[in-house]
Amino acid sequence: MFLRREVQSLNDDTLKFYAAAVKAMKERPPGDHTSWWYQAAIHGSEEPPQPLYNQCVHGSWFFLPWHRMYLYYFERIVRDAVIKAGGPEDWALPYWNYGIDLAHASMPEPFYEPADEANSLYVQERSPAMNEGGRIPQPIGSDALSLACETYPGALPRQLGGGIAKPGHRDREAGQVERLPHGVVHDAVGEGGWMSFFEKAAKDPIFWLHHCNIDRIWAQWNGLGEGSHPNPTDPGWRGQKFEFFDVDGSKVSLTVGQVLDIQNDLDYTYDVLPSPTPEEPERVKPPDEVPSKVDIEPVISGGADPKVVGTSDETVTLTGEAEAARVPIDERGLEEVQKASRESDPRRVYLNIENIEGKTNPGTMYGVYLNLPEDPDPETLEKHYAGAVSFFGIEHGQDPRKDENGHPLRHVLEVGKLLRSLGDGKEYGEGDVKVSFRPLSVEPPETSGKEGLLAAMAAPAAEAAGGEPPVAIGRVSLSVHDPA
Amino acid sequence: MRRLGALSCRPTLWVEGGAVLSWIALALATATAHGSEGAGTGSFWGQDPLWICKTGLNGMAAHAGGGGGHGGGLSSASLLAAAPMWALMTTAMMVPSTLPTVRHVALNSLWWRRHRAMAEFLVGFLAVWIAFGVLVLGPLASSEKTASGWVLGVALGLAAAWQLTPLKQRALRACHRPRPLRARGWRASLGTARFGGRDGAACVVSCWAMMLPAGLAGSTALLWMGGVTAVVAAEKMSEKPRRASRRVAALLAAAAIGVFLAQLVG
Repeated sequence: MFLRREVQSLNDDTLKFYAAAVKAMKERPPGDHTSWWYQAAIHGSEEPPQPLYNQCVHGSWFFLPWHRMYLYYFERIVRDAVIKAGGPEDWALPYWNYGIDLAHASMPEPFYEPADEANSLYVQERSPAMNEGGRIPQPIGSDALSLACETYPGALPRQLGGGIAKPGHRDREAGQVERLPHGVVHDAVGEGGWMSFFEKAAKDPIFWLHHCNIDRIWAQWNGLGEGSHPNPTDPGWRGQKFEFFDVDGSKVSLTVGQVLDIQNDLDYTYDVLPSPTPEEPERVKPPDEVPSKVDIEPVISGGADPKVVGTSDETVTLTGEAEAARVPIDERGLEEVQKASRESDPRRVYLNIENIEGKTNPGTMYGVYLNLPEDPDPETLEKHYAGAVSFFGIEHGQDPRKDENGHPLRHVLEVGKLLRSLGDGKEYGEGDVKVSFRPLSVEPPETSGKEGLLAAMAAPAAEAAGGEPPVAIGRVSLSVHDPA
Repeated sequence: MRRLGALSCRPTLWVEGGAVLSWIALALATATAHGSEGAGTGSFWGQDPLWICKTGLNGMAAHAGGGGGHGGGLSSASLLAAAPMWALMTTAMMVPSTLPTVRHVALNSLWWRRHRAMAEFLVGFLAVWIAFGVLVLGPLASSEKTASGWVLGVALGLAAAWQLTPLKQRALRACHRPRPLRARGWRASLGTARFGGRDGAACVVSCWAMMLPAGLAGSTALLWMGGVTAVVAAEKMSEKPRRASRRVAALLAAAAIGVFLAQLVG
């Protein structure tokens, strides 16, 4: 069985052989189905369409299985190239868990050093800060929110895999893991470069390690809670088929139901997962840094639809500078929010950032803050921090590539606990809710620990301040959800 | 309480009920019109598809003092008097395919005004369709002579061609575009009604061509209406809208060829 390991924990030649394989694949003719450029174009491409170009699936419950299959065949192609380059026959794709701690939050050095064309892992079209050893801000890279999810289907907080793709849905319904860390890390690394766009992202060799981490989160989530985190059983999900190219260049297909048991069906596992057989315990040793348990009781959520209790009256346009929206709450809504924000109340309060549209992804991540005072210091920023959003894929909201309907982006953050803390500690206080958006930056390599996080929150990248392609947020609203 | 509970879980229930009632009313109107036209003018299921609109319009025109009756030219007053009939038809035919948007409106409005918001959306949506029906389809459907088979065939061919245009695709896509809904006051009411109007306009642009053959044939018979309702719903609900449009285009083209062949043989 092939073992996928955290890239920063490697002390062998895994990346050296990855680089050799990438180089070999880049040298293949572009029309070769196993070439680097063809494999990337399966995710997305701006070139004239070829068979299986532009297949990537986002914004639905097929996001995770499609990318698992994509990685699986890509890994087979790379492994073949690794073996031909003299590498090990059990070579497996590493994953990059940028959320473990700051030491893991920068790209492995071979991806940016040396910064020249001879390095097949180097890409100039990335965040300059990341290419200098900058680090993914910790709240953004963390998998805690994803591992704390209670169900697979759905696009609300605590719902991992995305909304059920069904006729008539009106928003792109990305699940928790697709919004964060997936989407935000795309923009943290890309910052308007390759990783910020469907059509270019997979050309960056770090893309595959990033998605391997997303796949690891799914597999790890499945294994949490002794089977209480099952995948959907819907035949429409399990029976969905997707096509790829295998190592010999032939077209192959898999159904979702065929990729749910990675160890028995796909013959790979992750270093954080328990060993499938007693014979190989030494190969499956989880790194100490990875949290093995999430302190949230598994509950099957669902219940009624969230109730909207307050909405903004104006569109907010983001161009790289701090902006804010005010969400008025009348007496009736305030009562709902106050009660739902209590620790004893089972209901949840959501902040919905909706009707997000723009012609192109500016590649900027934004921190979202509630009731932030003017000129906040870093500690105030942290106290009012609700979450992070990105706009990966925004350009396809009204201009989808394939034969599909357009769907504006939508982000949903759970804010009950934050509202409680901004009140008297027991429940939210009074007054409208002010929602602030402030650009986030990759942490510079020289900062450390909490200082780094606060610096990222406080200091927008100088070159990103203003003048970016606009992103319109049509509405910000608060809703209350009873999951029972 | 049980009824209120059902409305809480499924806020669109009364809209769905309205569509069903519209179909029942249309069926009754058809049967009544058939009875008043006398035997021999056609069967209940649409061999003579002029019943509702033609008799309905003319009857209303007469009722409105427009000097209607069979064959009389219809005044603008009589056309306006037919608006309720078009409202009934539009509710029956177009509301089913727009139910996902109605639900979107319900779930994204302030919870305690969600039913009002749905009504405001439907006012905007239906107003556009009623205007289209009264101003465009009405005169076609109520003309004295049914258009010749050749004209009908051309209209079907035109409808098939329209299905394949980029403008049609853009309109179909616009049918899926949600608008930010405001919370309270006139801004909320106006915004929601305007959202309905925009959705209705996109729907008219998307579907106008396939409505023309209906107007030319005077065809508002239940069977034909049911077919159009199913086709529009399939197209709007499809996750692959371009493929759905092409299939509808093929259907319309086949119908056009059938009409032309019938003309040649006949």
